[in-house]
Amino acid sequence: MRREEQEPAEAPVTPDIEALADAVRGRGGAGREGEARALAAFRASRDAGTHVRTGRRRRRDDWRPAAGFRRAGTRWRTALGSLVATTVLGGVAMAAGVVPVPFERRIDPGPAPTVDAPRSPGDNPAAVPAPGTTPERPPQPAPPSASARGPADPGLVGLCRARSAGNGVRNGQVFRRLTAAAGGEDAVDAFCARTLEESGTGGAPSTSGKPSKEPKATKSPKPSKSPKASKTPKTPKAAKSGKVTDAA
Amino acid sequence: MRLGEAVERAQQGDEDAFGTAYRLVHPGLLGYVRGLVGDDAEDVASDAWLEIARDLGRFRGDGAGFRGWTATIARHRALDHLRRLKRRPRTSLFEHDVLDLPGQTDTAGAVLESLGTRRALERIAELPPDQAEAVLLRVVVGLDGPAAARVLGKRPGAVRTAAHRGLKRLAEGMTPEGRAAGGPRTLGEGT
Repeated sequence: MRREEQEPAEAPVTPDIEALADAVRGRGGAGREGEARALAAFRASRDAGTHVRTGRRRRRDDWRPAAGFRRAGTRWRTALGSLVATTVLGGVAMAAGVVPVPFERRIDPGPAPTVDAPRSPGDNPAAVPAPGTTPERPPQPAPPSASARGPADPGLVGLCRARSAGNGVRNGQVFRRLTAAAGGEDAVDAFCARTLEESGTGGAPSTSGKPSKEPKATKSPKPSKSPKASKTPKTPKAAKSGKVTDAA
Repeated sequence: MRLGEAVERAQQGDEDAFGTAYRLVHPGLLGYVRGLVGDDAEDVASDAWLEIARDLGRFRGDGAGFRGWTATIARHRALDHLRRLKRRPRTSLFEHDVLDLPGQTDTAGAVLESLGTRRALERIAELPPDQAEAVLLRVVVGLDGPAAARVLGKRPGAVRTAAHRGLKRLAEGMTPEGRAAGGPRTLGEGT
């Protein structure tokens, strides 16, 4: 009924057109006769018990105003929006260095777990083990020392992805870790390009050549969360199906 | 009694309330069906009301929603009817037979009303079908844009555009210049 009152005049409905509409409506045609038939059908249906608000739900019978849908859907959308925002923006936030990187331990250039002898910087794990390394040691976890050309370390790959997601911001923990791994700030882009290429996923050097936009900006812990969060969810169906269960 | 209240009470079994809802909704519904099927409108609308009465318990919504719901049912009945006649909506939408309204013209008032109805339908019939139907739903049934779009199964933007164009064209045709410039055909033309 709300909509009946505040019908937005999106089109020019002039008095002439109102008169035209009145004319089309006429007096409702057969009048009492049609009404009597409809009422008879109503009584028959009512007496047969089909007016009870149960039975199969059909979407086409649900014409509750959009406000109702929105109210019901808000919880769903908020929840889903938060989830999506957390997932998507979490990466950005990590790239910006405002939240701790969960996998940073894996790429910590500090002491590798099994290091008993230092590896040479140019150590290529795919090649013959460098002198000093244990032969049995699997070549996989090459500790990213300075300018190391290690294989696609999953942790580093993740960091590089996070950095791409963060548009190549040149500060924060991610960047510091990558700097350490690459052996210098200027080497990070090339390093990430290489790393991503080697990981076989998204090898494009997405951030190289792109000047960092906010060299020193310390981002607030919640970078633009709300606008995106409200946009992302498109769950009309979920909202509706959740709503249709209120059988009285 | 407002429509929403009437519908709610009808859903609880109140026959008088259903009669109220009928009287509030039927004229617009019939006008819409007239635009779709012409002189079979009374029968088609009657069929629609049987279905409305039968499925009333399933309906969820307020008064505006009830208008949309009933318009959807009426539209389905009208399209079924046209299918039975093996005619596509395009050819019979506002066809000549729309002008042959039911012969309940026993009183002078009815004659005049029928005349006005015919003229009005003919004016709308000059529009492209999508515009005509959008106009009917918007101003005759009284739906808002999104509801009209839902009845038609189209995107709201498309329906809004169609209604806007149709109404604009109708308004233009109503100016004295528009009438003078060989504008709308009217019933009186041939007589």
